Amino acid sequence: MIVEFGHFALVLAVVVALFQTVVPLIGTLSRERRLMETARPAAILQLLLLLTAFLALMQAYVMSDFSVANVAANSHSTKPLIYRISGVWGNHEGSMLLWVLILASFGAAVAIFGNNLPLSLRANVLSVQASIALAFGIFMLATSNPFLRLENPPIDGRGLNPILQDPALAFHPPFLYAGYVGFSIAFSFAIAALIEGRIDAAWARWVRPWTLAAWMCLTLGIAMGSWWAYYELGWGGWWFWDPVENASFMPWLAGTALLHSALVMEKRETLKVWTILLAILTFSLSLMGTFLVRSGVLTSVHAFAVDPERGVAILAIMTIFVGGGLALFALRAGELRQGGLFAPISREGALVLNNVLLTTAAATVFVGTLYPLLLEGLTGDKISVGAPFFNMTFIPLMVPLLIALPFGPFMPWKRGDLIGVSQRLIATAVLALVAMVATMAMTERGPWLAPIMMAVGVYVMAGALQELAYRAKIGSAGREEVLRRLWNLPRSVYGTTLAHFGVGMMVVGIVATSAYQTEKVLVMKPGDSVDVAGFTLVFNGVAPNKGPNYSEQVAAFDVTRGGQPVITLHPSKRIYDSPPQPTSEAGIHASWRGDLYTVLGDAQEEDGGYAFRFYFNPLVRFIWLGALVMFIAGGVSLSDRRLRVGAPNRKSRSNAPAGAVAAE
Amino acid sequence: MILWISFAVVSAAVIAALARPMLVEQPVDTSSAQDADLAVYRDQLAEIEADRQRGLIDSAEAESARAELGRRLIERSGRDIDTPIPASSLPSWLGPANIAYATAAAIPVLAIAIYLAVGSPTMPGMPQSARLNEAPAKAGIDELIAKVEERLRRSPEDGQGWDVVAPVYMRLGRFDDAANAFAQASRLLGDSPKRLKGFAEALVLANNGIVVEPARLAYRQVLNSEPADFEARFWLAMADEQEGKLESAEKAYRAVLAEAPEDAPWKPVVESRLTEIASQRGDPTAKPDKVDTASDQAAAEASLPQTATDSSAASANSAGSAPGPTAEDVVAARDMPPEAQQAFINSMVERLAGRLADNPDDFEGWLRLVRAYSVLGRKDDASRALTSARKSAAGDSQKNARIDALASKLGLGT
Repeated sequence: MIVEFGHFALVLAVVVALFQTVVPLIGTLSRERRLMETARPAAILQLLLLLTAFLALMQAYVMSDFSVANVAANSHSTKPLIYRISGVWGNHEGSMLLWVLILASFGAAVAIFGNNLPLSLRANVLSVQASIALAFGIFMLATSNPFLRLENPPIDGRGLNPILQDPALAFHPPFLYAGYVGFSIAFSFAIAALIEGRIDAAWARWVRPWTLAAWMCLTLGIAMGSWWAYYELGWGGWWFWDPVENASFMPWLAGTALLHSALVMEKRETLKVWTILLAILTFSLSLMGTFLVRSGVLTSVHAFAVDPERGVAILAIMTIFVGGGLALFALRAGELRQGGLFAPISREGALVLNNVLLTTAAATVFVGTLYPLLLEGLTGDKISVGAPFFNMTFIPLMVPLLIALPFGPFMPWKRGDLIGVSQRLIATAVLALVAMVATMAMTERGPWLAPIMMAVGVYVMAGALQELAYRAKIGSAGREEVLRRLWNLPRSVYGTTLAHFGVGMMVVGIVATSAYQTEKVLVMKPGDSVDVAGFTLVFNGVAPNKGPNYSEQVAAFDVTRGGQPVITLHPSKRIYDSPPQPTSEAGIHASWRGDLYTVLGDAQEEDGGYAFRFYFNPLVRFIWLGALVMFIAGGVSLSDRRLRVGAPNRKSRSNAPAGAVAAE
Repeated sequence: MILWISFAVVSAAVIAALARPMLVEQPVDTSSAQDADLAVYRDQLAEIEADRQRGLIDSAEAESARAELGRRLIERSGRDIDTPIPASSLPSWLGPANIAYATAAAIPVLAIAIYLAVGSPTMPGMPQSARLNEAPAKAGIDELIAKVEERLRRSPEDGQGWDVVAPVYMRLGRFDDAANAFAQASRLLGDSPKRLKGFAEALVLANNGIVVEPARLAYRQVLNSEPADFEARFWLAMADEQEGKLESAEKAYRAVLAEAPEDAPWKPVVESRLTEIASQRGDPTAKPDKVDTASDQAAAEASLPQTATDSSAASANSAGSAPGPTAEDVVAARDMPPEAQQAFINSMVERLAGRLADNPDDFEGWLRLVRAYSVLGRKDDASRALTSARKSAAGDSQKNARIDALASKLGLGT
């Protein structure tokens, strides 16, 4: 009953999406206000209906209703509650439902909070948004319906892929989708502007918060995935340039560029055409990410659907939206008015450099990801494009970006003074040099480039802080004045500082881990001990243990440092009951200095010993802390009132006082 | 019916919400895109001043930004100031009211049509807990099994079905079926320690306690993934013992015992095996003959039925069941001369029978007595005990099924 009600709600939501695509668009084309006004209730209804459907499916998972084919195929009654819930999106059909639910949430948010949008723009945006929902809704009903039932329900389900039974992975997809799908709003705004043939002055201000929200979620989603890979896959690595990772990384790079170009567009009304294009491209890359992981083109944990029919359907959706968007862009971009001019050395110039480098980087990743697929499709040759390619192409693009990064916020708009800004950054540069020397002093080996890159990371971090200090006149003004200035700084400035600081942290973490990781592989018997990066580990044997739906072999290590006990680590190997699949759980001791990382290998037949791998990953936490700081930075920036747009005062338009228009 | 009513209610609500803006007169829109743009510029002007005060931009920058904005303001207020907002250009047959009526008609029709094509309106929700709860009430376990069997016959590739039915067979004493079911589940879903152990145990029980070669291989495989598994190690030791490799059997038993948790219920069984081996090795000529082994088995049945073989049933035994002789009793019996041993075992069985006479509702106790009698070869007594067990089962279909299974396994008429 609940399941069928949810199914009907899904069908109704698709029908409402059809309505929302067509009727408001007729309204804007014919200037009929009453039709334009329907977009808002339609968007809210869509959210409510899809939420109903989603909760109905979740109910089926929680109650283990195996008469639902999707539940029978992907859940099991012995799974802990949290994984029964996360199982809803741990499969193709359920994750598509989550996808359209998030799409509808963003649409409804525009409907609810978009009071200050011109009516026709809102109607157009919601119409475009609904057309995406419609396409995916039809796709779901036709090929990936999560509500199909089984005549003879099995007694128990087939179980969730054990590798997905993990807290970080349970919430990695919702954040990732919120990121992917959030860019749909930027896309819808771009298409709406192209349909109207003009860009409102407030366009960038409306687009920015949505882009920022999507970017935050995507940042956190990617970081969660990377963190999970780090502690679950047992290689001690955190990024593998896997095509699936790249699929989420490309929209992130493009989205980061979009965030920055929207800034220029808002302040200077320039880079309009480019920003529109970037909005279309960012969402196109999101769609491509969805296509790559869902079509079975790539084999990975994410390839739930290995059904070519679905792949073709998603490819068709992608072609329609990307092709349609770009075609519209080609037709209409010429009509868009260009804005103010600026010198190459200026804030605008710096942001353009940022955009050029980020989009080139995205293109690099694009080539590295798709070229092997294309080659295999054309010639049947299988080649593997891995870390070496990306190290040689991606990193050289990132280095100038990082070096230029602290300059950007110091640059004035329109025309800047490179030498003046360089002088302001002297303290930062000195700090970076100190970091480089310290790195060289503390480490004996490692690539020659590593200390320099460490210096770059520290330089980005220090540069971010120095900008804040400069704004607050720390060092040149009195204490009271500094505090007053710090207090008065808009939160978006703090957002910038934090985000850039997070980038620096990430660079430091990446460089330290990549260059100075310690690795040991050996066979140990109970009682043996090993020294890793200043820690002494004594192996205390392996014991069996039983979890709710798995059994495991758990090794125990007493870890001491300089004779002082630190922690007992328990790396383990699990075998899940249903489906029976082995996974490895690393034993990790996290500290500021870095992570001690232990992995249990196979038992040795002949002598009763066990194989172990030990890693020490210096400063590795900085990678995810950096991402977390960036996420928080987005939140801080989003809370800034200045991101909101004042609406024309409709009731008293004749005497609206300048600048006194209330935001919302 | 409720389902259809709820569909109707939701559809009506959707139609009402969508049609309303089209049917009511909307206030005339006095604001235009121009107003919106001008409002933004005014906001930005105010912001420039605020940014200057905060020190985000210096006064020269603020001045030039103001000048630029001023230019934009003037330019924008001049553009399309005289263009009136065009009135609706819809043809009358496509007026908002008509679209509203069309929507009201089309939405439910379309939704119901699609739903009927993909949905299953007649199927109720089937949460697992509800299904498991109502199943025994509606149908006896035999019928349930029959259902499962029928489904497995129709779709023999359903690994889940085999997985579910295998332990049930086991509990019913249908060991050959259980072994087959475990093997099918392994074949379809892959080997897991649980399935391998189930398979091996079923084979052992089907062969009257002999660890046959396939069972042995299965246990070996279990040890590959779970080297510490007690059950597998015990039975492998038993296999050695049965083959006469007493030394390695003893070693393995001792290892199991040494690592056993304090309260392991099967500990006495391992101990009794050790005692057995010790007596065999100590005096080869005193190797127990057939009767003795049978008696041992009877004693073990009377004391610790199923502990080593079926732990789930053992746990069901624990509540309110007459205690058998203690482990010490069993061990003590091993040290006696054969005649005394026989007498001791008989006395133990009689003690159990006496207790059951006082407490005839002890179903598990009766089953134990049936097994003990039957091992001792006292068929008539076993049949009588079986009848008593039936009485104590009092029409419980699950218990009766177990009695039937036991009877057929022991070859007793019912």
